[in-house]
Amino acid sequence: MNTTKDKIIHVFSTACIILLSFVWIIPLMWSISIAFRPANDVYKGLFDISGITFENFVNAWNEAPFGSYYIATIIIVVGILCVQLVTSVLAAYAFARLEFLGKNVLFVLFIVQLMIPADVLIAPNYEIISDFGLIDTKIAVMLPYFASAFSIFLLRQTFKQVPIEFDESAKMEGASMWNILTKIYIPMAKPTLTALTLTVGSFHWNNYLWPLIVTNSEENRPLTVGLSVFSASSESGANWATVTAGMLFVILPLLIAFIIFQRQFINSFMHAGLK
Amino acid sequence: MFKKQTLKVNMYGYLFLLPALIFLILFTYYPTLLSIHDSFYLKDNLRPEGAFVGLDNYKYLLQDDVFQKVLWNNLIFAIGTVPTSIMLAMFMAVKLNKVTRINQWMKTSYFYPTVIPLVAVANIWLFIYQPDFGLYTRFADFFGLPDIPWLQSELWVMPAMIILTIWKEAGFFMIFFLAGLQNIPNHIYESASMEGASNGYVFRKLTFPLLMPTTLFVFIIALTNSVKTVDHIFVMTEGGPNNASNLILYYIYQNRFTFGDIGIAATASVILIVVLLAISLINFFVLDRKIHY
Amino acid sequence: MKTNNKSLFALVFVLLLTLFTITACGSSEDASSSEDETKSEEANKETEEASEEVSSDKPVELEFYYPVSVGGAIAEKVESYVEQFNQQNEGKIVVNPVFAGSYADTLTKAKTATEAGNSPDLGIFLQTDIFDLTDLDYVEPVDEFIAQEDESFIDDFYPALLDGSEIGGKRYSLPFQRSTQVLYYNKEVLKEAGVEKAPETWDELVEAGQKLVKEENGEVTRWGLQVPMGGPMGYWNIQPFALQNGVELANPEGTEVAFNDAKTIEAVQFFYDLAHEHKIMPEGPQGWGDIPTNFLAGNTAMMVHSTGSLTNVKEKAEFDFGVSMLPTNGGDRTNLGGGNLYIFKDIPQENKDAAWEFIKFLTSPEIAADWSMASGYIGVTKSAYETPELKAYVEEFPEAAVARDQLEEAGAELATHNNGKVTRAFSDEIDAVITGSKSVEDAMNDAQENAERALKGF
Repeated sequence: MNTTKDKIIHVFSTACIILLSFVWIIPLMWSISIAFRPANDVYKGLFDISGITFENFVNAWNEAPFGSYYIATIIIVVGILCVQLVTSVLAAYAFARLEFLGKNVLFVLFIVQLMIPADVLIAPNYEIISDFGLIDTKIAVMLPYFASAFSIFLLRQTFKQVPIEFDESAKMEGASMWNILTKIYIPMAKPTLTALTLTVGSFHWNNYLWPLIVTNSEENRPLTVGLSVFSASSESGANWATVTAGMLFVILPLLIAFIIFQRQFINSFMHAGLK
Repeated sequence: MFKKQTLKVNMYGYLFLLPALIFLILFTYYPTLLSIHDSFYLKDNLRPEGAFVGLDNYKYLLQDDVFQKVLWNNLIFAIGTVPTSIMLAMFMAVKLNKVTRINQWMKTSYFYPTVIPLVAVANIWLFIYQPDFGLYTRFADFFGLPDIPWLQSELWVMPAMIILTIWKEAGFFMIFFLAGLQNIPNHIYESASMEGASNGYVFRKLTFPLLMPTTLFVFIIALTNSVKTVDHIFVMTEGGPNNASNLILYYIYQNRFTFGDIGIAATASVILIVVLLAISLINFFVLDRKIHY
Repeated sequence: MKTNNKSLFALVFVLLLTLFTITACGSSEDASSSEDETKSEEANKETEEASEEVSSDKPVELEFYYPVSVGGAIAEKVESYVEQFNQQNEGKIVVNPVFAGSYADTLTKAKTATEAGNSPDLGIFLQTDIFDLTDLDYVEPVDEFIAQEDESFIDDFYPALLDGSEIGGKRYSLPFQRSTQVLYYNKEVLKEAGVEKAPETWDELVEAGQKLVKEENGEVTRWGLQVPMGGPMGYWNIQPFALQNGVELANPEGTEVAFNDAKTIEAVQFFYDLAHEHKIMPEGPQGWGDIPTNFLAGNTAMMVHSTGSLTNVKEKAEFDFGVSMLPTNGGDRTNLGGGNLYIFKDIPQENKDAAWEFIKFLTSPEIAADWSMASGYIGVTKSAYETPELKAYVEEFPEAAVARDQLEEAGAELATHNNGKVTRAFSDEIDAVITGSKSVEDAMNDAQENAERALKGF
């Protein structure tokens, strides 16, 4: 059945995919190995880990307030998630199940945000946050992301798949709309909600440009901005080992979570991608 | 009775949309209009009240060497990243679709850059591109390849950015293709193999066309990403050397926040919004039709 | 069930009302009215702050913006000064340092914060940021504070370090971490190659460099010289060559530049030739942070770098090294560089007074001397070099005084109005020269044109 040509292609492509996976993993391995080396060993062999040390981590932790960066990041991510999920569930339910005047017009209005994401509106959004007097607050980092057309559409698709008979029979029994939403729709959308939590959560854990613009003080600075400040080299030159250790502080929580909950992560991203 | 019911449902509809709508108005529609408004004004830190100058800002940008270069860079960046990462992602997905332990591990190694912030990725790659002790230089020395001044030369800095971006994004796109593959019914493949079709033939005639909707979806995401991701520029090059790695969004940042030029930043924002709308139009009018093969 | 519905209706109406008010506000919120709002808000805030301080004995809190350096030790040093100051002024003043990245990042942060009515109290910015900060009217002159002190206070500073911080007869900053560029050389390598002393002129530089280059199998294993080049701060490393050739890149008023002056072009050409003609320096850009690493690893026999790297090099060098002034072609030897202390305007008087106390502390002989030893920066006052500690240090390590001695032959750093755009115009074109995409003359003409466009109106 399989021709020789097929076999050759198969062997070649399998070799490629394995080789490539090393290309993908080596940068991380190398960074980890550097973070554990004494500062002067950085320039030695590729994976030379003759002298393992935790000194770099201690230095990095002492030189920058990573603890406060963690707290700010967690507050920002949780804040965005809570509000965004509520606004999205409500709007998605309206678009999926309710009839009202101008629904289609509003739907198109919502689509606009898919085309123009808040990430590119840094200049005007800064003016708005500044007018509100919210510069250098955590709420300023969160505000533009409280509504997300993407989350709304994803949930709308999910809600549409809930059999309409559920609604009707619940209404017969005299359940309020609020009850229908909380008792039927939200539980049935659990996989979607998990997927959104993971994708939106990791997006904002990793977000950089907007928090860079609207935060100044250390207590409001998330990890990504803290890292870039930390690694900005000044007159004394770069210090690889410490910077790399600091970088690991930033990436490890998500990375570890990802490795432990691999399947959920991948499934979530898959789920979020299926429109 | 019936009327009252409709009214009630109506009210719920608006009520439920209200919270999301408020934030959309504040942080999507209003800022878009604000950008258009400000783009007609000479407005900077010295003239915060602004002076109406008509289309002068647009004229300025169209004549500005740096802005032309930035537009060009963004185009190159998109051409460099989008097709390659899509093809790679599709390749990964097709090869790793079967669930085995080793495939699972490879999926992990391709996907993990997705959960790392781009600034951290930039930090890692800074040390890969470092000319004296960096990973590439060591590798090149070992295999006798020429040294490449990745971030130091106008020629190489864009390829350096493109490689980094592909590394960061391909695994993310792979996920969409894996999802797409799951949606292809198994019996299609079974009948194909019964007829003795070769793997290449199956891919060309079945898998690839059936993945088309996914491909187009990923294409739009990748294209949008190529104009909205600039985090790495802050860490690696600050747009240099000689603006060879400067992209539109970074140019906006520089003008608004480093140079304090509100009018020019607003004008560049409007141009960026137009680019994004153009991408969406491709999506709606050109590609959406083609899906219905 | 019925009551439930009623309350929901009420809720709907309330929420709809909010929507209408919000959209109404949104539409009436044109540029002018919103500005008035923020202004009145600011005014409110000020009066609130003022009354708060009168009525309570809470210590004055100062937000102090500071550009961070990754050397670690240096950032920690500044933090330790802050701690020391806070302890001395317990109950009265609390300084909170904010580390905000590079000089450019720090300036950007300070500007956006001030614009948003959230001004820092004081900060360290480049001496050359004076035009930007005064054009925006963000910083306060320090003359009144200086007048309160003895006359000897201001006379104690090295005059070269005070240059350039005055506009319209008012002084806006005092020096803190100031540097000049110096030539670091590997004594052992120079001896081995038969170079007797560090080069003092351009000709000697080329000659020494050629002797110091080492090749193995047609590949250079050791360069004669490395100079940081390229990037947004690239202008700083090229400017000394212009000064050495006898040309100032900008007028003292900061309104005109001389980027396409024949002497500037000649100087940039000489710099270019060091790599391409004389082959004593690698071609292409060299990262600021990479060069000390190369020097320490023995990959280059000499390097030009900030005196701010001196302590770092001293601690890490495994060979005997020397420091000398930069070679010249008849003009000054180097430009100045580094950061000054500025006090902001939009803060209560008490904060300004407290900020002045902190500035006096940071420029006091003991701190200036300690800071100079910890980093390599120039001790800003003469009395700093009279302290027993620094005196002993210089005696044992004479290199530590080279940068100070060079002040006599140092020119002002490039500074103009709209400084970010102007220096960027120059740095970008320097990049173009280094990477070989433009001839020196074309590049400098373009730099001049772009800079003049940025300077229009000043």
